[in-house]
Amino acid sequence: MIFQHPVVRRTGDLSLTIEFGDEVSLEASFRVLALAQQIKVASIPHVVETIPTHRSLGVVVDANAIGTTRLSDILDEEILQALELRSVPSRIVRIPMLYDDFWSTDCAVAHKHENSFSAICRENQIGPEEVIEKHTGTDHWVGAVGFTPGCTQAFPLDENHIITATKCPVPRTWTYSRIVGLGGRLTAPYTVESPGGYQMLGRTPLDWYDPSRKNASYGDDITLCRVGDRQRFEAVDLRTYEAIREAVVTGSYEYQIEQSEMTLPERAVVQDGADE
Amino acid sequence: MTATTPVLKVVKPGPQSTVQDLGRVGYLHTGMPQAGAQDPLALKLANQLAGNPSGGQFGGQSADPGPAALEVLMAGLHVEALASVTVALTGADLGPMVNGKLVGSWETIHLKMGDELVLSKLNRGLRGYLGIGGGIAVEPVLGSRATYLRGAVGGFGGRALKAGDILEAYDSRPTRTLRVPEDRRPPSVGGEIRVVLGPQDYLYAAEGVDAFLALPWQLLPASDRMGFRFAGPSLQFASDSPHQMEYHPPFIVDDFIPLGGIQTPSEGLIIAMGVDGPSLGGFSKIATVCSVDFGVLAQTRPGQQVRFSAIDWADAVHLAAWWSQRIEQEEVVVPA
Repeated sequence: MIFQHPVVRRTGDLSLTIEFGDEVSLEASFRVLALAQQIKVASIPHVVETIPTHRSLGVVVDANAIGTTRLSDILDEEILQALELRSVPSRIVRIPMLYDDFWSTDCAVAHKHENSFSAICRENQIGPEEVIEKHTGTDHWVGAVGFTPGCTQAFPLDENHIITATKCPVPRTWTYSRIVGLGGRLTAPYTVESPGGYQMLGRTPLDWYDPSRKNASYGDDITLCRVGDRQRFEAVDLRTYEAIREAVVTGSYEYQIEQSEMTLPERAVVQDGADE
Repeated sequence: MTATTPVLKVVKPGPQSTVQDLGRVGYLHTGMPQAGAQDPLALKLANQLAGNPSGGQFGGQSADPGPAALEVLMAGLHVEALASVTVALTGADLGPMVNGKLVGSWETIHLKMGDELVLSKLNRGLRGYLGIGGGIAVEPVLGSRATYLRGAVGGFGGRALKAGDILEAYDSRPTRTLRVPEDRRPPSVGGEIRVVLGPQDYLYAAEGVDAFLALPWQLLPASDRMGFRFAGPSLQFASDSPHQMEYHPPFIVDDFIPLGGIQTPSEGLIIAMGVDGPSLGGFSKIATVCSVDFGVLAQTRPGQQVRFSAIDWADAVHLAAWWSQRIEQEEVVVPA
């Protein structure tokens, strides 16, 4: 659900968190983005950064410089003033994927786990081709970035294209970088070699973060995607995967990123009005 | 560009020695951890004793990460001075020896060319900070020289030091000999760990919060700068968890994890997030370690016990500012 009134939660002396609800949804995400934008516009002194997640906004603050009482007042006011956004800037980022790849197979074998792709087929009671059709057939909304640098969590916008995966009961101790996983209905990449329990869908040749900003497609960002982007996965064969990977490594790959915006569907807006 | 001079050659790197400053502030929204010293107050004082500025307030908006020093895990580091250089060891007591003779921790050490500094023995704590006059000269990445090992970002080529590495320092001026008396040192091993309850303390039964605060927790070996794992009592959740429809504690909808956030993923296990920890996660968090006590996390050894005590948010903010100001105003160091 989405709370009637956002709740300010204490997260130590270096930050605060404003919680809007306990669900993963476009509505919750729009609320979070609205407050992030409001805080940015208000340019509150001593706010170091804001961290949007599916249903909460982390705010890193220099609480001592601003004064704890004043900080509480300011945040309460910004929460009240945050507009309900109907539409937000939202890029479409195309992500080539080698589905059911042999690195994922190798990783599952090394951990003595069931093959991830088979597990996904079984859980959704569909064949490999239909898994790929479902996953590539809808845009995925990036609701959170974190865990590792540039790691996104995205959910499918079209309810007819949802596939789900139960996380591995015993998490892997490592996963190849650039493998893309599915946990519940969330898609998330392993941006660096890391432990994890998401079922492995495939591997992308794209890099997800670049602190040196060597590729022009990143602009001023150090990550490929940010909260509010839509990801559009595209199935490629091994030969295309390898060609793209080589271009990414040499810095010549042109990331396919389209500027666009996203409007909250009418249905959601009506529901929201009914709450209040 | 400031001139740099080769000052130290690594003869033996020890178990893990990395270049760290106060960390990369302002990138948690990208998933990039802050990194930097796990014991920031000890790093600040190591810098001051070596004649350097101590940097801005930890985690603060000034985002001045201060000069880079070495974070040294346990004993074993052996370096040779390639020029006259001022250094100082704070944090853990690692039995520093110069040319085979014991010298003091928490005080300025003047090395001459050819001197050998060996951190000979783990006496107390776990992580030492070796401040180096002028600060270690490596290229900053996103405004900081801190090493984030898992991402191979920053510091000395994104990695821990190896034998044969040569550390350069920015130019420095000769400095007086200073020390930090024992009673002025920042919170370290043996102390309790102060926390601010939240963000999800409301998901726990009152008995759960009481058990968390009343009973001892033992640090587990599988702890590092990403997370400090402690074994202790099982924490009871509230029977009617508000605001959790789809998920049942300890699982929550993925949420922002602050530095020092304490997750409770399974019975009898909690994880306090370190400076290399993730900024997003799906386990409920009972409390957050106060930044002044990050040093206690850094200096506790696996097998040792700690207790947590809850303080008010405003008190935690003032405590952090108080330590920062005392160090800034040079009230902690005294002439030796």
